[in-house]
Amino acid sequence: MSSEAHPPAGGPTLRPPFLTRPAGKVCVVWLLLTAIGITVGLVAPRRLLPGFDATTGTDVLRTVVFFTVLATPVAGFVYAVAAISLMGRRHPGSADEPPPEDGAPLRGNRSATVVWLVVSSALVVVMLVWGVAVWSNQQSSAPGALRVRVTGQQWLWTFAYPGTSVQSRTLVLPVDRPVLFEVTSLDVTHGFWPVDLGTQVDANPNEVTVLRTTPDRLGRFEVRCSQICGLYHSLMDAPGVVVTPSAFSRWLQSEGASVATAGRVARVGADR
Amino acid sequence: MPTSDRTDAPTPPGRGGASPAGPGRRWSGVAGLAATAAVIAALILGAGVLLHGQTYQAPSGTQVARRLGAVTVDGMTLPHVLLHLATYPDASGTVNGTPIHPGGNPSWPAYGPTDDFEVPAHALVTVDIKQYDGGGTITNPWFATVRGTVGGVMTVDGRSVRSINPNQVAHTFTLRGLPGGEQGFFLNVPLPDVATGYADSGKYRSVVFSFVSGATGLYVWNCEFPCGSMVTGFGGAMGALGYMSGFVRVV
Repeated sequence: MSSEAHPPAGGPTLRPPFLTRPAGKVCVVWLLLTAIGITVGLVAPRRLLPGFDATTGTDVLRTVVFFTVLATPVAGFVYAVAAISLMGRRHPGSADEPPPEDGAPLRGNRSATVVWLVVSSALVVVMLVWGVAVWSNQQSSAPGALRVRVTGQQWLWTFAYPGTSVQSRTLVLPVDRPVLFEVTSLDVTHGFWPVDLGTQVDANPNEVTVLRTTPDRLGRFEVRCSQICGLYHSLMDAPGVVVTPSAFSRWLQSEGASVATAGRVARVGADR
Repeated sequence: MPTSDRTDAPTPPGRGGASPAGPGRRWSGVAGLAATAAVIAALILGAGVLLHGQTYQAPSGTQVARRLGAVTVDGMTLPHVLLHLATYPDASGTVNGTPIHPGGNPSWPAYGPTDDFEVPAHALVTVDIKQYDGGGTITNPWFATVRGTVGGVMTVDGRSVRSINPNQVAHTFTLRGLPGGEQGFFLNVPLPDVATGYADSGKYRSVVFSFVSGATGLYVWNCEFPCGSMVTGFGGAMGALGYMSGFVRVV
């Protein structure tokens, strides 16, 4: 036992690096960093990121947590190897003590190559599948979605509701109803970013880009511009609010829509 | 000499030797890096401290609203103040002997006599604008409608209106609150153009409107008519401070 742990000084070793003492230290540090990283990855995003008011935000939060947990073992391994190498295997730099011979090369180690390729490929495939699933879910059209035309211009947002004559500087949305944003710009490229809904898309001149989400929590949120668009880019914002379907209908009427029109536009959400 | 003694001294073997490549030299390198980093950090910190208290200085100064007395609006007695503004086809002229935009581009349209205003909080602010510029079609007709004024109206040459022709807009005076303040505050007043051929002729359109100011804080205004140059008219005067944008300081 002791002879395996302490090979004769200067004697060649034929064992793979991960069975030597430094490899053992790497394993211990790796496990420790992985445990810490996964714990932080599970807890920190929900505490550090703002609470989201829409399904898209919840998807983003889940994705951040999932990818963090998946990436933590890889990052932990890299950091563990780096830390043990820097602390325990670093040459002091003295001219009288030449650097030791290199250890066994990793090149040609079939086991390490296979493990690295399989693990990396599996992680990438899992992330790809997860990402495509979340993305396709956000891109799928929902029946009865409320259409909102979003127009950006230096340095204001305006929101129009097709089917009504209502156009507003405040983005008002009914809760628990899918929303389809049709986003464009009248001048330069802006970035439509309803922060608390956890989604964003560019607003390009002469183009209409679409964005889907479903607000699932009542409350106020903020719309900002996420593309540097000129002098007052930092001031390009608009207030937003998620309300009940009945409050949404009343708001449409207060903005000039007829009772019938407001009821028709808002009723779809109320019936869902 | 001490230096030659040190140079000629035998180097002790093993780790910790005082050779040129040994720990002494390494530590001096670390100290140099630390000193450099400290100097850079001090410069950044100093610049931050200096810039932190800086605020925008309007080239023509700040116009403080003139007090007219008190007035009752919706059952509330509010102080009543007055602002005089003008919009010019170019910034080359002077107003009461003061250049519209000192040191600025004389060929760009500009608000005058300044772009920076100060009004009291929760007061009725009446704004009198003389509009000297030509115009055209506004990109977003929504801004051709009066929004946020008392009664939702303005007077144009003495006539009360709620909106103007979107194809005859010269500029807009669009004022809003900022995040962290009264973000919901919003005011939009479209300014009709002077008749074709009369721009810069001394003829003007008289626009008067009133609004109730919000809480204390900094508010920003700008023109929403693309009266600048370059990209869809939003460059030039529209992309530089002091011409078609500015601040209202509510105190």
